[in-house]
Amino acid sequence: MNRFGIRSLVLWSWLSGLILVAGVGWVIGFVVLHGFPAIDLRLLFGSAPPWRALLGKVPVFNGLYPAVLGTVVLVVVAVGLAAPIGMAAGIYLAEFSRGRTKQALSLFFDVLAGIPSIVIGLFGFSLSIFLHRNVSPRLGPCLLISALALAILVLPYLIRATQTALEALPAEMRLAAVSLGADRIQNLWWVLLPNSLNGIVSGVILAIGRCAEDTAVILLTGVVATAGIPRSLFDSYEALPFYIYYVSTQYADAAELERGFGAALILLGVCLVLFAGALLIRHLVGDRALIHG
Amino acid sequence: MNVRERFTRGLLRAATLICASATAGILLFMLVLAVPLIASTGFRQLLFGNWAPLAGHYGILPMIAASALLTATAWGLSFPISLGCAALICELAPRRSAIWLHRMIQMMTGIPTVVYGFVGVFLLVPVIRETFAAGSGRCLLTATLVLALMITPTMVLFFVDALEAVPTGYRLAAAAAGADPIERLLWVIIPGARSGIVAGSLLAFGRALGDTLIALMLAGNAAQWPEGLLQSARTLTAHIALVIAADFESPEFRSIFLCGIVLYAITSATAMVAWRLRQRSSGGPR
Amino acid sequence: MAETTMAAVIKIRVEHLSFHYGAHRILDEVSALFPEGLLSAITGPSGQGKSTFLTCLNRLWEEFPDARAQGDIWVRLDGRDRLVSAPDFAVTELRRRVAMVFQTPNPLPMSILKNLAFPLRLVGINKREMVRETAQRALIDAFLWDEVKDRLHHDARTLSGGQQQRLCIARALTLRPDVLLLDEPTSSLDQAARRVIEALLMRLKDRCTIVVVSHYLDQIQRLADTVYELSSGKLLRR
Repeated sequence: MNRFGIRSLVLWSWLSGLILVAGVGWVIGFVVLHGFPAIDLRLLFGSAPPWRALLGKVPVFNGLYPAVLGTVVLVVVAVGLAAPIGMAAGIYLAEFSRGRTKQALSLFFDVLAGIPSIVIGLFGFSLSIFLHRNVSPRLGPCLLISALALAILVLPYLIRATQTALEALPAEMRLAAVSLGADRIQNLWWVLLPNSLNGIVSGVILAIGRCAEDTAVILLTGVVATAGIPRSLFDSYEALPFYIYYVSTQYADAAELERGFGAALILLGVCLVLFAGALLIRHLVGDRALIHG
Repeated sequence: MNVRERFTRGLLRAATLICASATAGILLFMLVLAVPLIASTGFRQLLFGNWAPLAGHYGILPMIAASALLTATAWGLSFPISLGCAALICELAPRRSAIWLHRMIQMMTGIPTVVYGFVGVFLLVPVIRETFAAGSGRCLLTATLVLALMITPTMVLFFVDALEAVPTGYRLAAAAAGADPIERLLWVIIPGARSGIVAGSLLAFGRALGDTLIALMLAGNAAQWPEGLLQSARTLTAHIALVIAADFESPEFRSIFLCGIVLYAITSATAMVAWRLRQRSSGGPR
Repeated sequence: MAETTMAAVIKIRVEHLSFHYGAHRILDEVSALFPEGLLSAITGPSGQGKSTFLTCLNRLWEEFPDARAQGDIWVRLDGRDRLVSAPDFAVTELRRRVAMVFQTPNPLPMSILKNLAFPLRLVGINKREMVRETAQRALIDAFLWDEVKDRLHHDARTLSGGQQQRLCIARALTLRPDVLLLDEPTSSLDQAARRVIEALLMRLKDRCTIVVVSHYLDQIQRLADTVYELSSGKLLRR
């Protein structure tokens, strides 16, 4: 290839960098521009007095508080379900499986990671139909089902984070405790896990972010536009990402549109902060032990 | 192996099996629920027929076509940009800028999809509407542009990993033979990262195919065969989201499970091929 | 080189030990006797399996996939000869009685004190007083106490190479093992550190049986009572 060809390719690379940064910058800028003016207590609580609304004594009609709370509860339950199971599976993959089994399992989890979120939502929905028909007619799409489906969604993140963190540990660290007579579990508990903590925590934070932003799953499993603050795990609920979607399809007035932008800004901010936190923690070296140990 | 180890190992294995069964369980549920529809209408007609529920046609072909068109175009738009950015990060930009760009792109993958869709609705749709004076502005073109933007950061990260995984030995050999950084990149590094690039492309393709919100909010959702990018169309994913509100027992409703199966099949196939490619390039079982 | 008399008690008896790594045979029907209270050295060309042989004595080879060992290894514990290579002999018990020090020091990523407390915690000894005393004794035995007594809570990785190796030896000594295995213990250290460790090993002979892998012939001449040479999968007494 001649110099001209090479030079135009280089130009293209720089151009593509520019396009990407400009495109994403535009998106973020647009949200910040229109969302920032909306940020105040009224955004969250509408016309209800903040303290009483916070404690649930007064319903909030024109505010994001129920949606925010709904998202928080959803995330806590989903990650609470997924984290122990995902970490356990990650530990199993890294430490107790090898050869064919390990390959098969890693394939399974790669497939799981690739399943579109709407399909997982569909599964959650089917599950709720199943429960509705065969267990109790009071059961249906609800917070718990959504949390369950979200847990499945983020399971691969947790498994992979745990597995990668453990497998990255140096061989000398593994053999040290074992040569002193520690069995596999002691080695795992006292040496391996404490030293993989930042990778694992980073995975948990990513899972939190993923649950907070997901819309497709909750769309099919119980989220609604107005439900107030979540009273029970078996009820419908509101959530921030759904509110954003809902406003884009129909908004009653300029105030609601502004709330939509405010919501978008909040969600964007939360997700970016979580993401940055996860990246930071992953790159933290274990210098914490340097002084106390 | 003492009691404690046996117990813990059993516990961990149980958790792993639960996770693995989720993968299979999802497929199972959808198959079970789609069967009555397939039984009554016939597989071929569903897969290749048109969608006209009032006339009794529940074919999902228009949705398949819309998904295919949207995904392929978005991917086609994103691929050269992603490769360009990856080249920038790995070789062409000065070290410090490259690291910052890499970090920025990592952060970009944290942006919620629904925010992309929201901005698309209020920023891009009016522009498209004005520029092309056709329809409401919600069409495949709008969705394509936003979807391409969304999947690019992920693809860039995959490509960067693939390029950086090329052994330094190759770079040194090329340098010693007199190639400058760009020539090294073109003739040695990118070819050397070939399987990683393909794997990353496949995974991004799967991501794009599985996207719901951008298609739902921006592509128009008309259940018709898409004749051009300026037409409104409905993807498989959007179809599921829209029809979920329909009556339980109706055949319209059951069509969404068929959509789910098609999506599951395609994304699983791409995941498997990508998995195979990554296994092979890392030299056998990990 | 001191003479070993026929009357010395045999601490470790290796019989017909073969070792395979995948399809490669590393050790071929190897036999050896290691007398109690003496220092035996294993030498030979590099890459021949000296470290592998050592890992057979404490069954550390079981941690590596694709590795297979056959043959009998007897160790005299509490006055009786025990077949430690048998699967029903608890390997964790074995590793507490037959301790190992590696070529590159591998302190655990914890404080110095916690490194020494670790083996004790594994056997359930947690009382602070007890741990402190045992740790102090081990550090004194390892010629390290004076250098670290004021910074027991500092991370072990802040020590120099020679100090880290002595820490690993101290850590191995906390449970008062019968046998101490050392795999090229001084090859990553400088001259001065090497001499300290050699003096330390001479002192430890009266406390446990020592088996050292080394390719420094002068070191072996200074230290060893018995010498074995490992080459082509065969072990020969020198």
